[in-house]
Amino acid sequence: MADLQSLLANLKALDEVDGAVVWRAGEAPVGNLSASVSAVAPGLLASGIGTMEQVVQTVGLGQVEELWFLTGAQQGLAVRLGDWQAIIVATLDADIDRLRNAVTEQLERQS
Amino acid sequence: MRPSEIVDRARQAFRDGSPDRAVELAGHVIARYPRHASARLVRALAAEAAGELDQALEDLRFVTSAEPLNAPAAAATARIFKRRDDDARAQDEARRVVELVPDVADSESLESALDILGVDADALPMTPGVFARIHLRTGWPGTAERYARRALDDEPDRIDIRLTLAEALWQLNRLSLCEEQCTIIFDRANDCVRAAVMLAHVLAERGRMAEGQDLLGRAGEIDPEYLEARQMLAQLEIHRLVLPDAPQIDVPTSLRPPSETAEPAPTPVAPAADEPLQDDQPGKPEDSPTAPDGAAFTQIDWARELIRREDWREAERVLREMVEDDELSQADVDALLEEAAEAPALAAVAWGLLGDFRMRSHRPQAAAEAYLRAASAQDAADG
Repeated sequence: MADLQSLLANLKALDEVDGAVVWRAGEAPVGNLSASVSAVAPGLLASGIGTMEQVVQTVGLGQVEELWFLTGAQQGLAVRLGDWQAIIVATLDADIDRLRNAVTEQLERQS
Repeated sequence: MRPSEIVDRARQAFRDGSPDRAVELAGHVIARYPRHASARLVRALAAEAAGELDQALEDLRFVTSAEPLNAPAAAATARIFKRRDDDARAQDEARRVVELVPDVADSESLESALDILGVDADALPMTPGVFARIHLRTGWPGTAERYARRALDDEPDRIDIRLTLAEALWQLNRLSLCEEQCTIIFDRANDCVRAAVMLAHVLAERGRMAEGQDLLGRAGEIDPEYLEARQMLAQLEIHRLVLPDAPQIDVPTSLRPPSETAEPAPTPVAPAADEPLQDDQPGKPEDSPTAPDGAAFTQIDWARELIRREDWREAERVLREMVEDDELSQADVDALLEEAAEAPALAAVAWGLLGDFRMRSHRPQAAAEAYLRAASAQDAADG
């Protein structure tokens, strides 16, 4: 839990990141998202990404390593590294390549 | 008090040699739920003991139609046929009892069946029906299906085996074939609770929610707490059926044991949510009273008791602990959290915890469903 919380704090501290969710396979997700979103948003985002991973794997396309999404107001990035997974929600103008490297680096430290 | 708790007391009274009290207690439940299978079974056993065999058989016919896998009902039916010197039917029923192995948890039913058959347990043949049941219970529905079909080739009228086949198909998610078998079961046993639950699920999956709920409601007349439905649906990752809250029945003072009509015992004081439980502290499951059937209270029983007492804060603390306990059975925790979510005061927390639990057990799709329900419950609570 301490690892999850410190990882979460590090991700949330990245420039242009508005919120983050992290979890490890076999554990419940923890998140730090904007107060305006639902209290179960970390769980919903994590389970949604997990479902997408299962779908991709089931159709034989292999294991998802990254998923990126864009809305009218935000962009989001989910990254998996081994057992660790993270989702960040960032501003529209955020440099997603830079953030991808930063998130991957944080996850590597945990692995 | 929940109907099943009253029936537990009736059963205990019968075991303790008080058949009149057992009949009174069972009758109290039957007055409210005339089709309550467990209460009708207690009344049947008391009638059998009193030599009122016609009355007993009438109740037993209903119970075996509602619950074809009910070994005590089949054993009682066998004993009654034996008493009437109808040896052929007695032996048929007794064979059915021994084939319900490994469902036969009570040695009494098994012993009376073996006595009628005049054999020792070691001499029992392993039939395809027995193999089907064993494979189904040990998580091999595909093999169970093959054995059940083989058993039905020899005995196509055996509803218990057909029910095993239907459950195997259900577990394999072959819903059309399961539906076919359930339809055949209803032709012979139109009160069958397990077939009703499976068919209700099939209908709901096809978008016929109202029909599914209606069918589930019929099962609820026989099992108003939906205990079998909860246990069966807990095996699924997702289902769309809504299980109503467990009902409560007032028990008149005349039917309460003397210990309950006297000065009430002090209720254990639950510790504060942030205070760790000590082994010698009231509120710890080990210090709690025994469960209705006399067994030691489990953590799950304790959580249920806290919910019944509407001690939401402590219930939430215990539920949180259970979600992180890897030793507990997944089906039990799923079922408990779904039960907890039926209490409006706990709904948002319980659905959220169910989401966490399903994430921990690598079921993200089912977790998403639970989290969505948590969000809806929270919206409802926020008005």
